[in-house]
Amino acid sequence: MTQMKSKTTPITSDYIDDPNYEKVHNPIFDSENISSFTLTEITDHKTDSGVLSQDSEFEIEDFAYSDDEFVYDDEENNETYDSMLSQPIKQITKKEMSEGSVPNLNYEVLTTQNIFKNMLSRLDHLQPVFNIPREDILLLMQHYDWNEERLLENWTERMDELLVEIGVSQKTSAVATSLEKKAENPDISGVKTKRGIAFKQSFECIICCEDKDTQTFSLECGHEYCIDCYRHYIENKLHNGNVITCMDCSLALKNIDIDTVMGHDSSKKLMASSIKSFIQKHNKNYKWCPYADCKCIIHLKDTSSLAEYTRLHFSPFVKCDAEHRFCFNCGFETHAPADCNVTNAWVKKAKKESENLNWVMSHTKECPKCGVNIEKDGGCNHMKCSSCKYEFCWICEGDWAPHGKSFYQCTLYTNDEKSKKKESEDLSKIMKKYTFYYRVFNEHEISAKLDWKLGQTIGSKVRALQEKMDVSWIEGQFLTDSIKILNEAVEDLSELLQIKDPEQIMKNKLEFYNKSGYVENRMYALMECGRDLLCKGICKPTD
Amino acid sequence: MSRLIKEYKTINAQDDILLFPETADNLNNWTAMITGPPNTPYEGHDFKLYISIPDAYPNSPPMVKFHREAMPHVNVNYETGEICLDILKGEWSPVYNLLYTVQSIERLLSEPNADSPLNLELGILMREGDKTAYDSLVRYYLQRQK
Ligand SMILES: [Zn+2]
Ligand SMILES: [Zn+2]
Ligand SMILES: [Zn+2]
Ligand SMILES: [Zn+2]
Ligand SMILES: [Zn+2]
Ligand SMILES: [Zn+2]
Repeated sequence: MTQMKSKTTPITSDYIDDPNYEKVHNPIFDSENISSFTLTEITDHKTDSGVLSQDSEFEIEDFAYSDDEFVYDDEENNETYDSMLSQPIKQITKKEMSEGSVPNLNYEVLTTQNIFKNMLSRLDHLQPVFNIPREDILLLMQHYDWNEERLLENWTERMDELLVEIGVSQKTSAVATSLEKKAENPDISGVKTKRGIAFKQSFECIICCEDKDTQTFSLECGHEYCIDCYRHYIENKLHNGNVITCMDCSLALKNIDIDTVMGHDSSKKLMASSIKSFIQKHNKNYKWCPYADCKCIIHLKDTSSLAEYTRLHFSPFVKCDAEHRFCFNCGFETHAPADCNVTNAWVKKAKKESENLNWVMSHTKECPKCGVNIEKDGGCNHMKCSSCKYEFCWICEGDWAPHGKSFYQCTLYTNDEKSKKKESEDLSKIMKKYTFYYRVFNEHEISAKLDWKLGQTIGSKVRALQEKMDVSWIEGQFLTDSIKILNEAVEDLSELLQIKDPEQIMKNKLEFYNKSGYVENRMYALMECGRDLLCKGICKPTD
Repeated sequence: MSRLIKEYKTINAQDDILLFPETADNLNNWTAMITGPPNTPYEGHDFKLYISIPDAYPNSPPMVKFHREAMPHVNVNYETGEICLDILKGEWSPVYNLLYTVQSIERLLSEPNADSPLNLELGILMREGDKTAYDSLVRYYLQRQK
């Protein structure tokens, strides 16, 4: 630690601005959340598969689940339910479930600051190797997207070139030729400009072309611009996370330079963007929590177990610090019991097909709260469930209250409508384009080879399009919706299952019946659709 | 604004450059004529460029387009005339100017870049390495326009 203090600016770890900062508690390397979460998830699976196993076409039978305790015998189910209710959820059950099935997921929950802090602590390790100021190493790391190995490899091979390339130092000090260069062109390699801010009278800035008394900034290269122009320039570059260089050469601005020019710690922003692009490049191991505005990042160090999950048609569900649960594989909300392939196929379908059909065409909908079917009777989107009195929006199925005064219009819907229109325009453009090119190539056989190749591409595109049209959009939409609704219901149900107090259980008996009946129905409907998709060859059961 | 006035003066002083503002009192919209470079399928054709200057210029790059359905080029969207060129996007630096921009686009005609295709068909041909087919298709388009 001492050697770094000697000549460099201390780099603090709070470079990154984040309102969630206080929340973060796990220090980076010591927190291995061996998640108990996996186990709970599996229990959920169990409940689900118990319900489906009657006629499941998905290969969840792989798991040697015994269905004994989850018999759904519709006619005389009271007894069964009762016996179920009398059994508290047992630890043993959980344990049994985890054995011989999927491995635990070993992950940590991070934020961009955590990761940046981690990078800074790496600097301390690297400093003795590089033996250059820490802030220069930071530039190198940033340039190499925080990929230490690649940086070290390049460093050992060609350190001087690298320093010039990344803009840490200037080309000038090529000792042999520097003398003659100086003689010829004293401006360039002669007097080095001092890095920093200066005050100039009647300075003519070549960027804004204004002649004014102003502060200026310049690096050692002497490319000097007025402070306003420099500020605009930096501001524009903070969000992409790359090393910011002089406007006219490759010399790099260090964080301290950025903060000097901007007058406040803007380099934080740059570092945050850089870490974000790091995450993007390492998206096999790092995943953003998909929930809106959540800043959590899940880091899975060892991804080798994921294959096992896929093989067993399980999904690697993870949980962020804000208790959001999602699938590490596909980034989608928890989607048990469907596996990722099936889920993704559904989601894709729903998106693609949404162009073709008006999605408000269906006339009945289930109440998002209780699941009772409600018929839409007029133009009004303000729906009230006849059974539970829940008031909701027909379009987005959200609570009606926030829709406030715009009685007949859901804001969410209008947005969607616009983008849908654009999408379908794009689609018809693409179709037009292909027909056009197809004709061009038939008229002029420029080369047989070419014709054949292009024809193939077009053919497969057209076929793909046709195939996609075959599955109606409604089906697709139904599936995504269903998954979501089902997930919620399953969660509610497992919440009910947690109740241990016999009094309470008796009280909630009815709710439990309803919920499990509901889950069963939804599950059945989902399976139907899944079967349909399988039949049409859109989803293939994987092995 | 003084920046554009200065550029205008510089460009005006040279008479071999076909780059001019739509009107002398509106420096926010410019037109340029570029000539198809020799030994390319563009040889013998002239192309018009439409340049509009954003408020943030020179911190943001000028917006440059070809005439719609006039430029068959892998990095140009044929229908809209939109150009994919690094300096018109992330690689822009405020030290560049309109002249440099136009010259870079001229250079793009002789040095198409398969990595960022806006014209997918030409992009496919280019990636296949079928230069003959690429050039022929470009010529076909240009011919058709006449
Ligand atoms: Zn300036
Ligand atoms: Zn410079
Ligand atoms: Zn989250
Ligand atoms: Zn998934
Ligand atoms: Zn209801
Ligand atoms: Zn709504």
